[in-house]
Amino acid sequence: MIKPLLKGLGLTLRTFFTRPVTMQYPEEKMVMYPRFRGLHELTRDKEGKIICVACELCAAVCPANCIRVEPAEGPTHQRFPKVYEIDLLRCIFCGFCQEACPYEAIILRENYETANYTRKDLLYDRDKLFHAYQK
Amino acid sequence: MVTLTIDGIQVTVPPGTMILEAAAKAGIKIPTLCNSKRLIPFGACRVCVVQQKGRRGLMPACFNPVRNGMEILTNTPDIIKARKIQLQLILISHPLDCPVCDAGGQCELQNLVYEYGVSENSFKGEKANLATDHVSPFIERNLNRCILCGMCVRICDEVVGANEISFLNRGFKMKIGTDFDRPMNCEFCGQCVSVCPVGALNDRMFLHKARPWDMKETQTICGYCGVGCTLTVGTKNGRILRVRGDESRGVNQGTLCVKGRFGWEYVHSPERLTSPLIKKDGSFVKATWEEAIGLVVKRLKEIKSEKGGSAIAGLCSPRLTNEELYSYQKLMRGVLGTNHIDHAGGYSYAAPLALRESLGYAASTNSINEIRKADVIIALRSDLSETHPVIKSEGVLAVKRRKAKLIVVNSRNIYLNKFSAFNLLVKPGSEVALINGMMQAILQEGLAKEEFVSSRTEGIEALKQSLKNYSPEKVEALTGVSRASFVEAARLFAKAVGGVILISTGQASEKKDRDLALAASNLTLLTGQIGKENAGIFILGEKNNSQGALDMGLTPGWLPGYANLGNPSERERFEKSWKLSIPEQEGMGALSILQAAEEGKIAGLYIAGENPLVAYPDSSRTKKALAAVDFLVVQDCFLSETASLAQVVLPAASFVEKDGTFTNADRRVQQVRPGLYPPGQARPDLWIFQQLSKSLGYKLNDPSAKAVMDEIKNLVPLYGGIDYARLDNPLGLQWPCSSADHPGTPFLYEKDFPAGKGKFIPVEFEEGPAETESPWFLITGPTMVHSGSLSLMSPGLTRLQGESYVQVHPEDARKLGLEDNQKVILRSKQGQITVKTLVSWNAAPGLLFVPCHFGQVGGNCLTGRDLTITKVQLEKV
Ligand code: SF4
Ligand code: SF4
Ligand code: SF4
Ligand code: SF4
Ligand code: SF4
Ligand code: FES
Repeated sequence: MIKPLLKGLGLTLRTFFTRPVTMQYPEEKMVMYPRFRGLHELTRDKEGKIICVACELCAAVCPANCIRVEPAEGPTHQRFPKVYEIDLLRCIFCGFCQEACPYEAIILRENYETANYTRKDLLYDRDKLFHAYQK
Repeated sequence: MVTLTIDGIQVTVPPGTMILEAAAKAGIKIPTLCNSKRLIPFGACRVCVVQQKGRRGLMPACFNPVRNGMEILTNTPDIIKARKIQLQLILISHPLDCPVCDAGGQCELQNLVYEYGVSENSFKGEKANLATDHVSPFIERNLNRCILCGMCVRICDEVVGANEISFLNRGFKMKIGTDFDRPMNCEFCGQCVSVCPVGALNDRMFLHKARPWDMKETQTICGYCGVGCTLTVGTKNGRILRVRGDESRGVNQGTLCVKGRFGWEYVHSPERLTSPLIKKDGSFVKATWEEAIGLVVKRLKEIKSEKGGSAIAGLCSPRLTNEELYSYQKLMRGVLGTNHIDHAGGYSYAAPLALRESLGYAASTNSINEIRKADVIIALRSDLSETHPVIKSEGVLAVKRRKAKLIVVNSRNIYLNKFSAFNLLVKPGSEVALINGMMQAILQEGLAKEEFVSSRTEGIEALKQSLKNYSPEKVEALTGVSRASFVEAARLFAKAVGGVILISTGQASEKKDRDLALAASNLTLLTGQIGKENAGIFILGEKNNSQGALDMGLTPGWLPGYANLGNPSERERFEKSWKLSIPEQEGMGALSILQAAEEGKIAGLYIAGENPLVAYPDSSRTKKALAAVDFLVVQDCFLSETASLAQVVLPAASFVEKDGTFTNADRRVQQVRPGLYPPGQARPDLWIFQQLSKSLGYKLNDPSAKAVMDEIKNLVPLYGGIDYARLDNPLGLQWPCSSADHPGTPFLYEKDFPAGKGKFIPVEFEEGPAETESPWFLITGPTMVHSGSLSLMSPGLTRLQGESYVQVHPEDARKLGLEDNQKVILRSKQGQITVKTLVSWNAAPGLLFVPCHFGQVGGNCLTGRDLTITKVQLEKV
């Protein structure tokens, strides 16, 4: 009976002198691995314009069915997303959309701090996703 | 029959079948990029290659016919390799910009590249770099994606007959284009778009709107003309995004005209009525359905009790469904107690009723798809490319594929003459004399089908007697057509294996409709061109349900199913079933109603879907009549010219927002299916009729359209076997269909005529009024781009043709010193309009044409109610 007790205390003693793993969030923040799949960003080209051409492949592949894309014709007859919406409440952060996109127009990046107060706040529209990582 | 094996599966097919079709029958799919069942095989793409056992090399399956005992392999490694190479060759110049290409998701090339796993290309070359055409209406051309399959070129030639596009240049520089690469200026039927296997030709209205998998597609029937084309309506988020034709459905087999394919925008017009309106102090205020219906019911009840049911009248549009039309006449006759009901101005149905007199049924005798198999086709006063473009395609198919002879009888040099063997340019209104002259020639040359005449017809003696007056010399003088040509045309028709006569009718047709139809019927009876396949007479109604309106008893004198109102036992049959009483005396037709209204005898007028102010002749008198009515109710999708005169306006649903059936010009009952909800408070006409009736204290029928059809089929023997379960097929059902196991009737009178024999009813040609001081003959009629006044609410169509015009022959223009696009004033007894000229060889000397669509500047301001030939004066502004 005493044996397991000592064993447990031993473990406590050992870890007592190692560095703690708990982070003091939010004062301290974890740095994510580069391939972490957090909040999406709609990327931009060299001129800062949205790259997405509203091909709807991401929406088609999304297993959670949470992407809505509505294409439209721009002034130079180009195809652009009039509506691009991700319902983060339903998103399972699988990254399939990123994989499907032929232009790397959508990527999942490091931000995991997406908690919010209302459901509506978690419905990310085109502009929100476009500016998601802009300081 | 030929038997062969394909991949080990044995199939038996008729001789002349291509290997491709035989494989399809065996359930084996061979890829194709340049084949369509609407087109003659061409052999441009070579991805359909197959191998015959025991033979070296590969051969295309699409244009190699089957032979007995062949053993075909479709999937060997050699074949796959050959197909891959073909695809790689295509991809040398192909941009593969699928993400921005509207074909993505339904592109044949994309599918094949994926299926065959073509991921790299050892052939190197430049990518195509041609400018995209953003200018042409309705069609976007991105020729970089073109794979030169030639299907667009071929369909425009073989089926449409417009020859607008063709191959330009040679070799690597080859492309598809118009002459001198100008923007397209054609019929804009969009057939080329529909066959293009890739994203080179696109529907401009669908450009960058959605992916095919986003859309819900609904099969329904076109709401414009009487051909009754099947439309596949693609909707997303409650809006139509695209309309296309489906090769495997309907009489049109994928072919549509500009109105059907691109004319749907009115459905989403911001001017659609979305709530009932009641006029207070001269202007409309929005009301609820309870208020509006309450007011209508109160006023109609008052009128009925004060002045009797005969002070109430109704005009209904043949655009409504059969179920709605039936319920409307039940409401008017039974509940409101008036027989004063009519449709389409009462003009459009003289021709079918004439056929009923002579043959037995008030409709076309044969099926539309038989026209393409006829040998001789007479287009009798029918400007088919304008009125029924898809029927024109049937004619083009007959002429181009079967070397059929087309005989055009018209007073204008219509476009159809591009395909005609004879252009019989008659003096306006003298078509009957010409047909009589043809019959006389047939009799004289002994070409009449004696056996048919003696065994199946009666009255030949009277006909012979009356035809004596129509010697070739006299007919030449009456019609202005040279003797040689119409006699030759008559010979051709008499000798044809299948001879077809096409007559288009409509509100703009002259009052000669009855005579014309009888003359045509005499001619077919005399030559035995009736009661068999690929022959007969076609009466082509102007509106989508012109035939149904007649079948459903929307006329003053006929109850549904052509039951005679004057016959007490017939009337009783309906009264018993409805538990209502129908007034005995025959009602008034549309023009008499307006006449009576002018005289103050009509106190209540209920107009459903009609726009008499624009569509009926003599607009100024119509306006006076409508203003004289105490209580005018108009039910429409729009606040039309007529509706703005009403006291109460009820918002109705459009054809894509309701269910029901339409009956087309070949007696085909087809199902209309809703793809959208009506906007705002708008409701299907059926719902409105039922609510009105309920408030008047009578339950009209069970709410669904299906239940109404069940009621119809019990009362109308012609529709006896028609129910919704049976209608759920790609081709509908053609009446007479008397019982649940009757297969429908593709062509009439095969064994006998309903009255035993077909009757010859001689018709005499009456010359028009004597020459007046007005020198110009005026003809009014529809144009290809528009249908009634409804299509004017579609911006795309009005961009193509937005204003009225007067068509003048170049010779006349030169004499008068008129230029194209010059303003002129036309003046007739009825009124005057100011329009621009359109100098065109399609007119005829001495004759002006004004379209009938454009309200205040349309032809109907000039024509008189009796629709005898109108003469006008022309002045330069
Ligand atoms: S993000 Fe990429 S895959 Fe999604 S619509 Fe835009 S371009 Fe297409
Ligand atoms: S035509 Fe087909 S293969 Fe070519 S870009 Fe468009 S979708 Fe892709
Ligand atoms: S729209 Fe019709 S007429 Fe015009 S090019 Fe295409 S197929 Fe020919
Ligand atoms: S435009 Fe389309 S239909 Fe015409 S040749 Fe090119 S790929 Fe074929
Ligand atoms: S308007 Fe007539 S011809 Fe044109 S698509 Fe509609 S039904 Fe067919
Ligand atoms: S389909 Fe046979 S060659 Fe194109």
